[in-house]
Amino acid sequence: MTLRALIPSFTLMVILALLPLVLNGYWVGQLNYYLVYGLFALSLSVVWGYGGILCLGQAAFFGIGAYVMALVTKGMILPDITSSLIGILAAMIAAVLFALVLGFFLFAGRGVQGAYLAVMTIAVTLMLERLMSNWYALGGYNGLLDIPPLTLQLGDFFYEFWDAAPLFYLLLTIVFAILFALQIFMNSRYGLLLTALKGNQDRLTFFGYGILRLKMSVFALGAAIAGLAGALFVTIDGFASPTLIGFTLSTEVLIWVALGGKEMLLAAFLGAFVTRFAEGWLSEALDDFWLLAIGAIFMVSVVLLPKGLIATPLGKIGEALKIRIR
Amino acid sequence: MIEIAIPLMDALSHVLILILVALGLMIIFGLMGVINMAHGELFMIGAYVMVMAQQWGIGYVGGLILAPIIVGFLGWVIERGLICHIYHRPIDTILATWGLSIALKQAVVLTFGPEAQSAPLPFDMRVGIGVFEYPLYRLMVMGASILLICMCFWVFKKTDFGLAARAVIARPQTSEILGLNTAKINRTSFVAGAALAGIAGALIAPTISVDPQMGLGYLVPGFLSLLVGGVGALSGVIVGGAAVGGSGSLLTNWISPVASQIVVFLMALVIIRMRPNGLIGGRKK
Amino acid sequence: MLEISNLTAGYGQSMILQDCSLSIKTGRVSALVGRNGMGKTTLLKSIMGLITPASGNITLNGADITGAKPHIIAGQRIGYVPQGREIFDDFTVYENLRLAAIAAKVDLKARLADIYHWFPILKQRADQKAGSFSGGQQQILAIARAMIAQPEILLLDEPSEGIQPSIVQDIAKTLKKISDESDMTILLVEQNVDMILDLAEDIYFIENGQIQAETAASKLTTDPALLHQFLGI
Repeated sequence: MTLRALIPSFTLMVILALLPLVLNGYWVGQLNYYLVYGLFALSLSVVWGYGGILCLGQAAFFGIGAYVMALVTKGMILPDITSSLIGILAAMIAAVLFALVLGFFLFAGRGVQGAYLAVMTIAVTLMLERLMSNWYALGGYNGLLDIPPLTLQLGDFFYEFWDAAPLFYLLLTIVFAILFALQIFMNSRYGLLLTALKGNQDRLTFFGYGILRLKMSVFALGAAIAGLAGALFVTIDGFASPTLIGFTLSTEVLIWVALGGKEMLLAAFLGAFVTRFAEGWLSEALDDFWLLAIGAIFMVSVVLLPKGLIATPLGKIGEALKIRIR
Repeated sequence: MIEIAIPLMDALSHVLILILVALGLMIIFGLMGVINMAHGELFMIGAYVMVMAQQWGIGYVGGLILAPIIVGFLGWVIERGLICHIYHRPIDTILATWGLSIALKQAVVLTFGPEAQSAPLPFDMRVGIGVFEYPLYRLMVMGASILLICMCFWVFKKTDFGLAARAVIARPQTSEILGLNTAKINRTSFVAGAALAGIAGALIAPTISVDPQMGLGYLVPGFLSLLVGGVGALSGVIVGGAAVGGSGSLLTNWISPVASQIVVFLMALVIIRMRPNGLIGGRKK
Repeated sequence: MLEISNLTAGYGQSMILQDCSLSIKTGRVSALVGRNGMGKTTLLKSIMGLITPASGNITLNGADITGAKPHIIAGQRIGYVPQGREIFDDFTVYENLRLAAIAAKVDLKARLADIYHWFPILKQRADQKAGSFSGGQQQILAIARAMIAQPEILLLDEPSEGIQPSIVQDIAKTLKKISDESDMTILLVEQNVDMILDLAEDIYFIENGQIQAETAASKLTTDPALLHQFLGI
């Protein structure tokens, strides 16, 4: 793949990087949330848009990442090891492990697909939400409070990401590093295999590729990213609650990704970013009408622009520039 | 004896309502392959109609008549406005009806507020045999549910419409070339499924607290019932509803409601996974 | 009369019928003959409205039916026996016929006398599940099902396919009888030479999406050159 194809994402990164110069502290703090939601949206785009797995319970992985990060950095697992980096690693590993177990359960043998998969993943996320609401050692319904912010420790050097702006640039780096990596990765042979998986499973078996392995790998990749997003989220918010693992967030991420465009990583990211931004900006004015509007827009976009509200024009721009935007 | 009788009756009444919800889902899914994520909201609106009917002074019976009519009409609007554009994209029906579900929920919040409402019981006497005593209204709901379930079976198995609907499920294109207007049959079925959700909501309204979020609590168990029992055969819904609703309701006698719900969901997932055609199905697909 | 003029139709981007014209004479048995992939089934599906033609017209007794919904076309008394029979396996024989009567909005009881007269086996086995039938019996049921509507025109897509020869002969005989006794028009798509020669009066040869030749069946028996050319036998 030529680097040209990364230009649109790179442009976006530059624009975002300039935003803190013109926005006040409150909005920079909000941008941090949008970046993390965008990262979460990337995870569903990978699983659903590229892997063809309609997961209606993607928040399960986000929530697992969030709780594990909270437990590690609060010292609730090992009081001496509270480093952010270890927390993030643990969060991602936990999400991946859960994805592997769930993935094996769902996809082994004659795996579950379509509507069945949708209903089953909803059931999983609902189960986890109920579980966390009643697991009192982990805060139960009230969740875990006072989660420390991200810290960086190299020898004697110690830095805490308290302020919005430094945190923003850190998150921007992480999120776009992952976006670029995914864009390159999805253009590789692996991406090609995933396309084949969506198109015709039988032919893939015929050529000797393990469908189960492929599906589990993409499911786990999505889980790792979602787990990372969850881990980053709690360090911003300072708060891990059952809503992070549950049905509502699963719904929201689905809508962001579908509105943006599930088959284009950049569009999925923007779907989350723009929807969240619009919500922060408009929800006060629109109040309760906001959700009504989102539901209605979502319906219309599914019927009229199934490729996504953002991916469709971006695709046209890409055609004009003769690049394939991922 | 008495200590098991009451929980059994409670379980039965829960199961019957769940079967009504799942039957509606089944008609719509089995016939058109449409996953209606807004089915829970149709149920919820049925319950709201009952609440409102009593406030408007048209009484319980008025609510019971009005609920299926209003919700059925809503179903017609949904079919014409949304579903009929995306029949050939089954996955998109999940998404579109999900959007619809959010919009309907929020529309109800905007109209009636987010707080829970209640509909008064039309009568609150209890009937008893010996020491065993049970609310009469709940018995009536059970009777009405059984009647509705039997009616569904009768329509599906005995009438011309039922035969045509079963033909459309089995071979939509062949039905069409024989002269059946399959689009019309789909629409009628969608309206029937919606009306069924509406009347189920209205029946149950006086016994629960009615709020905009109540739909989800019936949608997911309803779908699990459908899949556990097996898509395609009406009898599957009964078995699935009994398995999911019955075990959930009975387990609460020994473990907490949350734990019992988790256990039931887990059990349902395992059954769906082990028997993709459901407990009853096995012939098709 | 069924008239097809300048019809171009196919699936997606690939047009199988190219500017195809054909008129089917009323009250006669016509056969459409050609190898696989030449457009026979596409033509029948276009007539039934299962495929929307890209261009061209289909008229029935002067009325344009191009692009109408299949159930509307069926309502114009065109009966269709699709390839692979497509009977309802889970229904009994009687239910299959009852469904056809519901679909065609005709009185089943009034039609059953005729149907059972032509296909006595269906009366004997009325309560048997159609799925338990042999291929030949299923074919008979599929034809009977189409006959319920008392069609003016009956379209048959390879009725001999996958059926043992003795039953093919029976079916041909019955269809011949029906055609003689009634004024029904039959359009038969077939590759089985015996069936064509037994049944058809007018024969149309199709290749590359167009009608290339037509002849009377009586001439074919003495001069089979066309059969060689268009069926490769």
